[in-house]
Amino acid sequence: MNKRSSPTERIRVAVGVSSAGERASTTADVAGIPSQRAASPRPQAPRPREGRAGWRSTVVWTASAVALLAVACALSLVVGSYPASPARVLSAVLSPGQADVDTIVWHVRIPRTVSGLLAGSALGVAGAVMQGLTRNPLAGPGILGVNAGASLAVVTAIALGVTTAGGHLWFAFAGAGAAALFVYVLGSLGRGGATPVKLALAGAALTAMVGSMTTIVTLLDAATLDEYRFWAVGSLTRAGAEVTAAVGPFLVTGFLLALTVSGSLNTIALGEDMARSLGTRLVAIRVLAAVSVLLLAGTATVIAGPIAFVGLAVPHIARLLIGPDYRWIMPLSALLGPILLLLADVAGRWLVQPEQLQVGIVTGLAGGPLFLYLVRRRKVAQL
Amino acid sequence: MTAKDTVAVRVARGAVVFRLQRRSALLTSMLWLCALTLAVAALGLGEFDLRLADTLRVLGGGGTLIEYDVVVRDRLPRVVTGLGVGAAFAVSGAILQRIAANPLVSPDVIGVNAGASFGALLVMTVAGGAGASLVLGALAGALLTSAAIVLIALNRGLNGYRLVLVGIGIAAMLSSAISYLLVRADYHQVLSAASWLTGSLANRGTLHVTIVLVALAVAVPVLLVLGRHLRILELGDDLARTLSGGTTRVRLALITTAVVLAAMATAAAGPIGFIALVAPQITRRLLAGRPVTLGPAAAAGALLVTGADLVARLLFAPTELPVGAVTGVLGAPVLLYLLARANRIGHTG
Amino acid sequence: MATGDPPQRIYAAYQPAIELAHALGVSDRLAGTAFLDAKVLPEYADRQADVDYLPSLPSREALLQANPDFVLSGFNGFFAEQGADSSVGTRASLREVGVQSWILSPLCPSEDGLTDQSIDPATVKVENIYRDLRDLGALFGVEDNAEAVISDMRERIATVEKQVAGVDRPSVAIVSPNEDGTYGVASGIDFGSHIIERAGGTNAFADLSKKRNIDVGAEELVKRDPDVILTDACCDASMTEQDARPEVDAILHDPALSGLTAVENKAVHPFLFADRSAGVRAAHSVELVASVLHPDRVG
Repeated sequence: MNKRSSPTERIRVAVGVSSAGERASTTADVAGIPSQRAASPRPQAPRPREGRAGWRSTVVWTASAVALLAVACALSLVVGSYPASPARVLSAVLSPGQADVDTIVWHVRIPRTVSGLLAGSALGVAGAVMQGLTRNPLAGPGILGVNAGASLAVVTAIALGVTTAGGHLWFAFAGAGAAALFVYVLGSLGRGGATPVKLALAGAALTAMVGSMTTIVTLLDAATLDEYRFWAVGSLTRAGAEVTAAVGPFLVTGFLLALTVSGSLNTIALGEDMARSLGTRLVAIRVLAAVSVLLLAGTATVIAGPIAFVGLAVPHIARLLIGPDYRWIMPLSALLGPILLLLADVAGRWLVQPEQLQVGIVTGLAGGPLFLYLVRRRKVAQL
Repeated sequence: MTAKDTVAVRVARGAVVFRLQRRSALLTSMLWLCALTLAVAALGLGEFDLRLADTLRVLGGGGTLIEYDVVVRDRLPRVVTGLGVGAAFAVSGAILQRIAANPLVSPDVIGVNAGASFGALLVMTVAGGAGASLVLGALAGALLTSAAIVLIALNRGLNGYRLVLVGIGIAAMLSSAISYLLVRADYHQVLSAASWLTGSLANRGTLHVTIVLVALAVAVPVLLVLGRHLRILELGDDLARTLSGGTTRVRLALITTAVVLAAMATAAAGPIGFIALVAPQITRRLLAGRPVTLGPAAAAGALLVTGADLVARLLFAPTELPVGAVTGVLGAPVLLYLLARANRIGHTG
Repeated sequence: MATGDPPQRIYAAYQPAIELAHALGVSDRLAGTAFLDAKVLPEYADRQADVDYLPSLPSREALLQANPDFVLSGFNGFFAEQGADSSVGTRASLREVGVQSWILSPLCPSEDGLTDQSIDPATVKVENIYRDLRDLGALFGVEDNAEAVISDMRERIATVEKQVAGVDRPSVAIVSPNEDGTYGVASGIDFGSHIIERAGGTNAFADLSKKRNIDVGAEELVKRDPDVILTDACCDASMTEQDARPEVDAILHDPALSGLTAVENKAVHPFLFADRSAGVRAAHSVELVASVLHPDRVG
């Protein structure tokens, strides 16, 4: 890693060249947070510098993530309060019978593993897209109002007496979509279209407003609060097979869109002026990116509830590990998200037996220190 | 409304400063006038029936024991606490947004909300305490958390970006712990805790009034001295360092003031959401996008909280909502409206 | 705890307090009621219909507007100190404006002004309810009513205990499916456990004693495999056991629980959160649970 650079060097563009001489990235590392002082004078001239992370390091981190994800999945299938040896679990997976173990593997452990995989990668990628789009480190997938919209819709569903979890899911998706649409349209008004700051402010405002409405509904109806507080902590034990199958197409579309825009996000990261150089494509890219966030974050919320930390932290972790190229941040985030969720879920089953710690609780408790360690140890790659 | 000012900026700097100051002073006094009017109205309105004449008689020292209890011991402290915490949150948010140059930054970014909530919830659900112990728990939680965040982020200078990231990490850990306490709590405790966590002015007393007034009394003189540094800091790290030297020390002092203000306000009224974020933004836009001085923001905060609390008490009467449930519903549309109307924000905001 | 003449304007908060007031025959003295978890028992329904009712707890000024001279609460968070939000102020501060108060002894705090968490629920038995009835009967000047209610409850519970004496005790779990896919169960220190014991069963989660309600995963339920499951529906002033049907169906159709003895035998029965709180409902609850566990012996 680089030594700490001088303040002026922090405003720069990297045309990273790996030690192997291969062109690794064309990315930006722009100082400061997009801001009220966006109009203040700031040199925008690209200046070459050494690449943050070489090609080799990127491959090593990505391969390690794949291996770690495999371990996390295996643990998720084997660990649980019902005693079953790894061999017995394997035979239940391969040739399911009628015993309790088979029921548990197929109806408890496999669904929650699948939930963790899908929700984790969706949140990781959605967070990366959102941070790239808004160039704001505080922008998680929630900034489009997705979680807030979903929460209000679910609370409404509960208050209206929709009792099946399956029913809640579709309310959640509709709420997420409505909120994202509202934020995006509002953030696009005026000159310059959907600029980062307008999007972020519109998102924050809508989140606060909708969040208040959610609070009002729960405080006026005690029974709703009692149910809602369990929805509000993220959990992998909610969605069954029929749900994960139903949201599959949304996820795939979201991932494809995210990959499509990842190169352009590198350009947007160079700042307002460079972003404008994309010309008419800029609007299309912003819309595609927003749609991808909606699909991914909306689906993750449907599957696992409003988990805030993963979408926020995972892209930062990926950036800390392999540098600022979104074409690599996306896949690595897609791997790191489920690793974080699945390991947290496994820990949650095991830590407080016979009780359960919901995955949303453990991700924060365990992921927080890891995140802090990385933030302190590694040079911060600014957006 | 902005065109004339903008032109003037380029033409004659002195005149503009004067005009902006006049404009800002006018706005500040108007906002305070509204806030105080609402506050007086709040003393007479509520579930307990009182005519205006009765209210005045009680304030003058007359009235029955129960009327005195309702107006002077119940409504008065809540109204004063509301005015105070509104101003405190708003000033705190204005300082932090300008230091970080990020409109999404508010005291909860440096852990005030999460720390106070965790402290309060620990007192409530584990120790079974209320009253002074609850206030102390919240205050200690907020201050310790903020200190931890600043110390962890303090790595070869205080980088705003690193501060924000560390804040995210710590807040995530604490909100997980909060969720844990909430999920394991019993149903009746959850109701009470949910109300505190929303931010509430119910059942406030001398203790809460004292805390928030002390906070303001300490912060205002400090800010009168340090306020001018805010404008310098806004020019960016490098320029600021050249102009004033020791930016880290000034930053730390300003951040400390902001944190203490928000922490004491949170201890008094719980983490009332959105005020710190929206009050500076609203005044900024009412003042045509010029950087806000802290006065108008404080007035806007006081007005928002007082108005929100009145709505919270009357809207679903006889059921009372905690004020924090309403601030978002009231404040967000104002911000959204201003956002939608201001077509220049693509550049200035 | 209070002095002087019997109270004439009683404000009752929470299910156990409201039902106890009706049971003692002081319904006409109720100045207001608040916060029911379920519909009051059928024998009190008419009387409750004539009384002012608030679904959430009143603020201090709303309480004072009802002009009570006595406040009867089922939980002590209602009297927590300043800053606690579902509170109307400490009992001392109410006394200053001439309002006396009482907290039902199953949840009586050691100190004024504390929240509900300050209480040890493990010691609550039906006998605590009798003591409250007797004390409040004396306070309200309705000693005879109190004795009648106590002997009725004693008799009904004794009858059940006689009917189930010596039977095999099935294991029972009080289960509430949570939104997140976990299941809330009543632990060994919950009053529900006491009800199950008296009705001739054992709580499948009796060994857990950290807190009253515990959230477990499907695997833990499968591991403990209760013979009978009771639901735990809550919270609405119009709720009866019939309204717990959706919870019963949710448990019966949960694929993860399909191997449970209780599910295979369709031994999942509607039960309410209110049924397991310590109050005059206890006799009703013991009868209900016994009729589910031992249908051949209890009619």
